[in-house]
Amino acid sequence: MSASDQDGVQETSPGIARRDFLRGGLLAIAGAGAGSLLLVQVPVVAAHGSHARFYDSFPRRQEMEQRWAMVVDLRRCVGCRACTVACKSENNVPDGVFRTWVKFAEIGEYPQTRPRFLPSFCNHCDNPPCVPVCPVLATYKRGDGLVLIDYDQCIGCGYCIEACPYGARHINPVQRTADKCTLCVHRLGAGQKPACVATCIGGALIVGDLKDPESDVSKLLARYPAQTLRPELGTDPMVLYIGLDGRLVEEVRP
Amino acid sequence: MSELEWGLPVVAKYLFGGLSAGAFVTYYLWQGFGLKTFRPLAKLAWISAAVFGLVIPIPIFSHLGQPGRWGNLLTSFHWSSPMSWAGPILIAYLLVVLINGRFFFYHDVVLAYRAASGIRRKALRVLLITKPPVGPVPETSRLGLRVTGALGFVLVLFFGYSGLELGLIPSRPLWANPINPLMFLLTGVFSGMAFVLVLWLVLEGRPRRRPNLAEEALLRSLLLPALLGLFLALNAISYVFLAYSPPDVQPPVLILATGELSTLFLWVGLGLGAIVPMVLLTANAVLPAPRKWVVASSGVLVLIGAFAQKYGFLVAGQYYEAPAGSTVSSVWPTGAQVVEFVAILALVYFLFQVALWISPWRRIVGPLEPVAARTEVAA
Repeated sequence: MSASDQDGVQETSPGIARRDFLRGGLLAIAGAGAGSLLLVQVPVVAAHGSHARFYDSFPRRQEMEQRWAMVVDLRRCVGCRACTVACKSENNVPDGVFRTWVKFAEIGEYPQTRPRFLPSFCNHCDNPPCVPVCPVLATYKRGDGLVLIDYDQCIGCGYCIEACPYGARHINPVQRTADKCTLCVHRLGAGQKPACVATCIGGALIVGDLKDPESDVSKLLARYPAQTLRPELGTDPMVLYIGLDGRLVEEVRP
Repeated sequence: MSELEWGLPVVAKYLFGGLSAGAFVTYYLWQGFGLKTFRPLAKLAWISAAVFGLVIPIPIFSHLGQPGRWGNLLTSFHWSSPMSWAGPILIAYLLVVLINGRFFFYHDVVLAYRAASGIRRKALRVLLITKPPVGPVPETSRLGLRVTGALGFVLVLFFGYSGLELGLIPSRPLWANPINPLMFLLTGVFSGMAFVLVLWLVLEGRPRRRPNLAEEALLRSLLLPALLGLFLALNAISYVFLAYSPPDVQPPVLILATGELSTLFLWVGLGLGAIVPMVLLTANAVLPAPRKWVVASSGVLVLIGAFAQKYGFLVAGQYYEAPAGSTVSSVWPTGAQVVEFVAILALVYFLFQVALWISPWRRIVGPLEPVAARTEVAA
């Protein structure tokens, strides 16, 4: 029935009976389901053949030769921040944002205090919270363990930034998309070490292949116990710390 | 130093989404559920739902770093990201609401079309969609009205996705709360209802005239204070959750309770924006003669409160965790964000003027029958 009231007599509400309403509601829900399926699935299937193939097409599903991990030996870190500078220079990171940074805290009570440093970057988690929330599937995990961003797909909504428990992401003020440490994927591909690793004067940063038992990373992890940041969240980071002081983590928690 | 990643534009998105959803629910209380109490609001409620629905994408575009790529949101749907539901839900909702309006306003639009001229006539022709009838105006399709109305109502329920956007992030303990979708829906419904009430009182209130029976029933309605009460109860449950949460939750809760945002969230958002209007509206319902100004001022307080609640909750959730290597400079919006928000509000005002000019919302209806007893029970 229409909204009008001809001569003030006509009722504008259908005054629907409960049964009719329920029937209509069920029809509406079925329609909504079918409509949304059509609306969202058809383009995907048209582009990729099937949903399964759509997800399989992601590089994260492809096993790769290496399995990259980074070990940070905090016993060797002197807090010089050369890694921060090298990263900025190598990746042309704009002013005001950082892909790599070093947190600092004084542990203990005066006069028995000691400076402690915590080099921080993307943890390249095995279970990255940033990947599933990305509304446009721009951020993904590759088979070699790296969590990367498709800068041409990213819309810069910031959802991954909110989801990252390590504060490792930021909006790049120049390209207006999410940005973070890539573990210098371009250098790794060329057989070189990431810029921060290459420049670390204390040799505190070590990158290597976990699949290779002879790699420096594998040897270090076999020899010393290592911890990760915020393990309670179940993100399984691929950045592991040797000599991590619990008080340091509490002091510098982002 | 950096700005908050999610600030005023995201709050505006949640606010306009909630207002549209709430206005549609208010409309559907009459059109779908047949609650005669809300009959005087139905037309204005539909118009409000449509206008706010059209405005929702604007703050989203202003928030995105790459707004030109918004189309990616439509082609990358996946269940794991509530934000990716936004595109399909919003488009479907807008289409359904507009088609539903075609059925709901059909008779009025045909009559208005015949009497109109110039741009208004063209606009009304577009709203009619089909060829205008000649001679007596036929009845609109009841099935079309019912189905599109019910579909719109179901889609409104999906607006809870905005609460899921925050609720799914375990690293933000203030947000990671299972009742968030319900809370967002609830704030949306009562703020939309309050807006329509205020709009109705502004346009048709006539302060000096004593309300007729139908208006009196609306002024006495207990639905809005009941929703406010439910919201406050859910808030209490939420704080019980927080009391048992990990210590990480303390900084954002303290900012809301005693820190920089306490005035906005606690006093304006919950106190002035929920408790005071709930008490005022309940008292108004039992007065011998309900006062229009009480309902109007309560509605305004609810709207201010809804904004304050959303802003405080969103900002506090991310305050303690700054983007990589930087620190958050302030919990308050930047000047540019405020200007942008005011500009969007101005656009909303303009769109309402256009909508009220084009649509035949003011067509005077005949005397309404006394309110049915079931209306009071439902309220």
